[in-house]
Amino acid sequence: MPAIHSVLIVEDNLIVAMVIEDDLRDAGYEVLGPTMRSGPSLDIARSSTISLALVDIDLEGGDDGVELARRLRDEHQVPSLYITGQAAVARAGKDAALGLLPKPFTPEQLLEAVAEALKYAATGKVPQTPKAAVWF
Amino acid sequence: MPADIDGIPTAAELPVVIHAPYGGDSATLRQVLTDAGFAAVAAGDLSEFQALLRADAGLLVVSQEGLTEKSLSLIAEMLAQQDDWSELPIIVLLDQALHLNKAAGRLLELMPRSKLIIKQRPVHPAELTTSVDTALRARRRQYALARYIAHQEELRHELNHRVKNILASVNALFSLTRRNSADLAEFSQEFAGRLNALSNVHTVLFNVDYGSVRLTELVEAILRPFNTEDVRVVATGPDQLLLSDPAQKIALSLYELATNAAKYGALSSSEGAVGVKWSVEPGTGGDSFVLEWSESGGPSVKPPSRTGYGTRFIRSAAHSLDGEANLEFTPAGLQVQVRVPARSVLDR
Repeated sequence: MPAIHSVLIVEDNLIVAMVIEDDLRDAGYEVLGPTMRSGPSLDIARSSTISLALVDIDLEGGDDGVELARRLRDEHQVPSLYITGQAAVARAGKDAALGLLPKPFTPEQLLEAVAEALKYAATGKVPQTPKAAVWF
Repeated sequence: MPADIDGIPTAAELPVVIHAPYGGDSATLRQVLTDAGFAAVAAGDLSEFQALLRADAGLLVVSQEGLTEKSLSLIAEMLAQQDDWSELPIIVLLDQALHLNKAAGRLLELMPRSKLIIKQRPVHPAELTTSVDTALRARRRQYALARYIAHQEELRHELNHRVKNILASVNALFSLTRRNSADLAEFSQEFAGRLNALSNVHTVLFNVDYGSVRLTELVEAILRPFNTEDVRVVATGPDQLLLSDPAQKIALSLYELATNAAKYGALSSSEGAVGVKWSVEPGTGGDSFVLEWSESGGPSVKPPSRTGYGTRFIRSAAHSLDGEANLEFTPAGLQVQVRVPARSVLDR
């Protein structure tokens, strides 16, 4: 049985965060969060091992998801995948994340993107699939 | 560039670029226009003219002697680089000896996308300054149009962002409702109800331009469908201004509580009633906003066997506002208290 991956959800839309949480748990992932701001996300990164962070761009209280992804990578070696409707902003912050899964997405697209992102983080090889995600 | 309150330069602030390379023409024209209050700059020679020639100039004043092949090519090049909204006004001063109609036709060909004004020399200073003023006003309207177009573009992007967010919410609402529904009929009813609540919240927020919203107005919008025959949900509390995002969470939490009461709680029997109260309580760590939901007179309730969407939403909402929600299923009815820091929800 493969190791259980832990995924941090950073998403300020409560309902979207709940659905992502359900879908990931059902698929066997350990879920951390959901958090809606940078501060609590970094707190979790300090105390837990995170395989992947799913990061929205516009966070609660005006927090910036791109900046958070950068800090997660630089300070905690945590890779991020953006989940956002703001593709242009995410692309401008491409240095800080593995890729982008545009909203809205289906559970299947989410799970496929998470699996590919984890492989990308482990191997450094840019995934060819899925079509729903954009890889940097 | 200095600007007035609309961010559009005033007519007096738009630079008037003069190219009149014969004798003291440049200096004279500059003096006349400066005396009339315009921001006039004069080019001494062609290289200076090239340096001053910018697409964001207010107006060009060019004398017949300045219309050389080289300067015309510089002007044409700059005109071609203009934004779509721009048509630079150009006042050309020509001698009486020229056949003006012919000259005008030729200049229009050479300077497409310009607003050409031809003046016959000698030009009286008053005639020149009124023409400059009229041209600069027209130029200012072009700037206003550019600003309007940019604003429309910003709005289009903002709308796209909002629509995507709403679609993401609807998509998520669909998944969560489907997961928690026993059959299609239950799903349809619950999904339609939640969409309607989401729509009511957006209506209230739209009316305040997604700014601060009055709590009483929000509560009324959410609870109105449950108070159609007689008022069974009574809301009391000092009116407060809520920040937009927390307002959505509180409104949708109230909707979940009301719909649950209609299905299983106090609003499912004719004798039942609900009291909704809110208050701001001072504390050592700052004020707290406290919202209480109290059901009575309905059927005897017991805690549900599993945590449903509504309970999860209310707890997550409170948690996201740095507070907590306490739900207690007492025999008299459901009692809920949501306590969050006032700074997380109130616009003070």
